[in-house]
Amino acid sequence: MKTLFKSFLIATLLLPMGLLTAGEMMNPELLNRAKRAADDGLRYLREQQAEDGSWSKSVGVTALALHAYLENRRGYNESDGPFITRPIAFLLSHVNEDGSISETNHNRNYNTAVAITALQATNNPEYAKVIRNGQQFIKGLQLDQRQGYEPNHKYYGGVGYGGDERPDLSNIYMALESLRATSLDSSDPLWEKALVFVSRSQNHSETNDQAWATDDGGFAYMPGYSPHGEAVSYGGMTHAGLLSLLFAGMDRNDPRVSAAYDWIRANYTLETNPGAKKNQGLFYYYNAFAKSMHAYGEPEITDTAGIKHNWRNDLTRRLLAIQEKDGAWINRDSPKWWEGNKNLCTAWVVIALNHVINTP
Amino acid sequence: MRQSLILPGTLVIVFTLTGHLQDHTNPATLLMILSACILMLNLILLHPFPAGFPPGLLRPVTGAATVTAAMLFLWMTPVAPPGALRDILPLAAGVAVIGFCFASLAGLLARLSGNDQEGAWWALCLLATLMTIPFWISPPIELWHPGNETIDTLIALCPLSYLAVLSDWDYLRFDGVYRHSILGGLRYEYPNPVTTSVSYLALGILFRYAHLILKTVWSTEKKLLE
Repeated sequence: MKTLFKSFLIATLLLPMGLLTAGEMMNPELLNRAKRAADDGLRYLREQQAEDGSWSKSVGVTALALHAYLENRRGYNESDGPFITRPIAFLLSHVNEDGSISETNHNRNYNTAVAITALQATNNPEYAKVIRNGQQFIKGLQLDQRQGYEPNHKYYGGVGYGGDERPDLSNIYMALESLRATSLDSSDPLWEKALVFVSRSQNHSETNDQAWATDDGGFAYMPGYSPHGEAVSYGGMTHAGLLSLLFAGMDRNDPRVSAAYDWIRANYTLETNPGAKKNQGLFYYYNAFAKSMHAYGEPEITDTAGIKHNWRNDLTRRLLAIQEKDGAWINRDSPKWWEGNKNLCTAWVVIALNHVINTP
Repeated sequence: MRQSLILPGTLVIVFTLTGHLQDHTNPATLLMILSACILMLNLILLHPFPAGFPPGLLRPVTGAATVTAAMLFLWMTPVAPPGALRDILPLAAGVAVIGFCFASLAGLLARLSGNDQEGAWWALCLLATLMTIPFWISPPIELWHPGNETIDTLIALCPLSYLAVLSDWDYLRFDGVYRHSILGGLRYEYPNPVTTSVSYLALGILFRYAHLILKTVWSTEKKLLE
């Protein structure tokens, strides 16, 4: 009986591996190196942590670094000590009356979104009220009829930084990620409205009613605008757009999802942020790439030339190649979008590596 | 002698106080600055001025102190003006403060160049250069990757940032600016409005003072030569 049970157990464990071909499985040596690189990144972050538990005196960076620890394969949690509990206390000390969690007025959406995502990852019910209030704050930022934006307005359904009413895809992606992570009701009207804005940021004329839309399937920064020229699609935003669609409940059968995936196939590279100027937003791209590929669930990407790529191997090789001697990562080409900040880049990469490592 | 110390003395007090300002909403500190301004106004308006005090300074010092006091009153205010006025007045005061500073600079430059139009032209050029910092600074920032303090200083140097703070408007993320400036995509903090107000006013007064000193020195020299 015991032998039978053992055989059944082994067969069950091997079954998923058996379903993957050799090309689809991650190279075991690279997997080990990815684990070591993530450990080195976390060690770097530990050294940079301030006395109050924060990183870079920023709610956003602190929440991302905390999240990098909490999602790591080593299973860090609050019982591990002050290096986990202090950043949580730092986040909680920046909870504002309006539900936002931010040390500054002009990044309130990003900060609140990543803060409630990190608090949710603690699995501690004590933070439920703070998370709920954060959700409500983010929901309140969405542009709709309340602020005079009718459904035919290009900004309708969008979310901005929180200091103005100018929405963009990056902000709404972060907002949707946090609302999905904190289990906002999937029947909430926010999702439908967000889909309108997300669709209007995609270069896909079949589903985008804006006149500027082309048909490559990629995403721009916001309807009709990309920081890399006109409304060109680029890597960071296309993965953010794909994730936004998946968070909002779309699947591979949705034409917007398949168009975005086709853009990714046609522009597959990890050397640069494809479509972006001067490697701007490179680490944002790596982070969004790992999360979207993990969520999409395809271990290999076949590019439009028919070449198969194991994304986990490729991403790991690239991240290992550009890791600094101190274990950190930083964008040496452009400081735009805070990528001159080692703590931020390192947190993003460790989160990306966590997705590489945790993908079965 | 007593009165001639009023201006530098008050400025020292105000700067010392603002140096400790971490948060411009701190009512106790604002109250102290407000008191300093009112004290300065009282000293200027209620005491006779000695013959040696430059009369040209009376108006700008009084004006500066009044504007500062009025602005602080608006910020602190249990009795603030309602609705739109509350939004517009600080912005209008900010425009006046910047106008005072650059008008004083224009006067000084006119004195130095001996030509009114030239002075105004150079002051206007400087104002335009500072106003457009977010746009022309982007390539050097891309090249040199300066730290957060430098970014914050550059933003503080732009008079638009001062007006943006007064009107609670994140202009660096506004469509037209965001599209053409790297600053909105970097980590930044807007300047403290009280410190900036006091700095503009102090600079304006210093420009006026320098202008008057030059005027006095040059007219004395001229008389001696004659």
